[in-house]
Amino acid sequence: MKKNDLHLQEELLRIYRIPPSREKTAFFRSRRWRSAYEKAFLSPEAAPGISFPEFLRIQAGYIRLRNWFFSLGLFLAVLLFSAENIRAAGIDSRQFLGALSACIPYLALTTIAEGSRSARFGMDELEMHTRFSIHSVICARLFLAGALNLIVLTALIPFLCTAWGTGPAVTSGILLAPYLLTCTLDLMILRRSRNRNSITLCAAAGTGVSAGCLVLSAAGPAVYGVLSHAALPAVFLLGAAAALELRKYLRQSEESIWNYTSTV
Amino acid sequence: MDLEQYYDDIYRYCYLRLNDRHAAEDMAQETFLRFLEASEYRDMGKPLAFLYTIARNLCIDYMRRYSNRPDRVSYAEDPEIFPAPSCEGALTDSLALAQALRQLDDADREIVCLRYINEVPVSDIGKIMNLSRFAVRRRLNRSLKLLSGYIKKEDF
Repeated sequence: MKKNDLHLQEELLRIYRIPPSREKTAFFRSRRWRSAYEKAFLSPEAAPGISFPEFLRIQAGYIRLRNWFFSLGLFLAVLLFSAENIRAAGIDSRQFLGALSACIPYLALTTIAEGSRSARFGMDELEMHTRFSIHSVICARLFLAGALNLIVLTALIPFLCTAWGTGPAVTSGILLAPYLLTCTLDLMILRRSRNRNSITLCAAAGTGVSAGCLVLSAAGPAVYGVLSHAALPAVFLLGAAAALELRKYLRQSEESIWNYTSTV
Repeated sequence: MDLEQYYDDIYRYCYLRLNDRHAAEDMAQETFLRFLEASEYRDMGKPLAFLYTIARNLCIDYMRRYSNRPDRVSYAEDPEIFPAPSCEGALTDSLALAQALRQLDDADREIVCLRYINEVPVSDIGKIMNLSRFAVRRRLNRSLKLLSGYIKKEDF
């Protein structure tokens, strides 16, 4: 607290003249408190408390292994194809980055698919009555899968810059723009159609973005010139759009909880 | 979970609302018992806002119940009102502040007391009073400006 705030605090305490509590110790030693505490925390039927890191750890266990493997596989593949002897075999940096950017939308698709599993399998009503709300479960899973992808992509940017000699702006654009665009489109689709078929539409959107990346990379070196100027603004814009869509998606899940509980 | 550390804060808050030591002790104790009974709370290590919300509701209920009883301390007609401090016996420099506090509306007075007497974080005040963090900060700044303006005026 600042000096002025401390002075105000002292003055307020003087004005309100609050006497100290006299029953605190007696209350926390009383039988009434102890029995309530034991019933809440120590009895077998009491749900044990859980910390936030512990909650994330539990949710990480429910993310399918193929998601982790896909992210790490992509990372290792980039390392492998960036080896000097493979580069010397004649792979063009434009071709390589084009192929890589075409894979990125599927990375986004695996993350988004993880957040919509409950809706796809028709389990969302059941999960609304479980220990953790579906809202916090979705948040935790999207956070974990998204954090891993972010780490992978962030680690790849400086590596690709040095290995393939592309500028940081172009590399960031190639890696992040398809990822964020797919996230935005997939979340938009999931928000509008909450059923089993929604993931097919998401996959179609991801494939569309992937195809777009391949077309752009095949278009010629001029595209990279344009990309170097437009990459960072595009990444920021797409990032904002993805964040907005995520917010709407999570809000909608809150609303569906509210709608459901109000009808019980 | 160590709940004992929050007792003084909750007691102080209840006293500010009720201005009666025994009633404040009763309400503070009832708050902790209700907290343990509440099935909707899941421990994420931050029970303070939830404790304050229970205490606030209990105090309002208490004031509603006892406002018309002659043997009790008389409360304001509207139990939602956060009481202003008494000017009786206040020293000259504190008197200006006590009078300035009377000029604030009850929600602003409650925010000032929660922030400066109980040192509740702004985000928790928002949860307790169902306001956004920005709204709390805006109200707090407005109140402080009003308080300092009033005190300066009184000095003349």
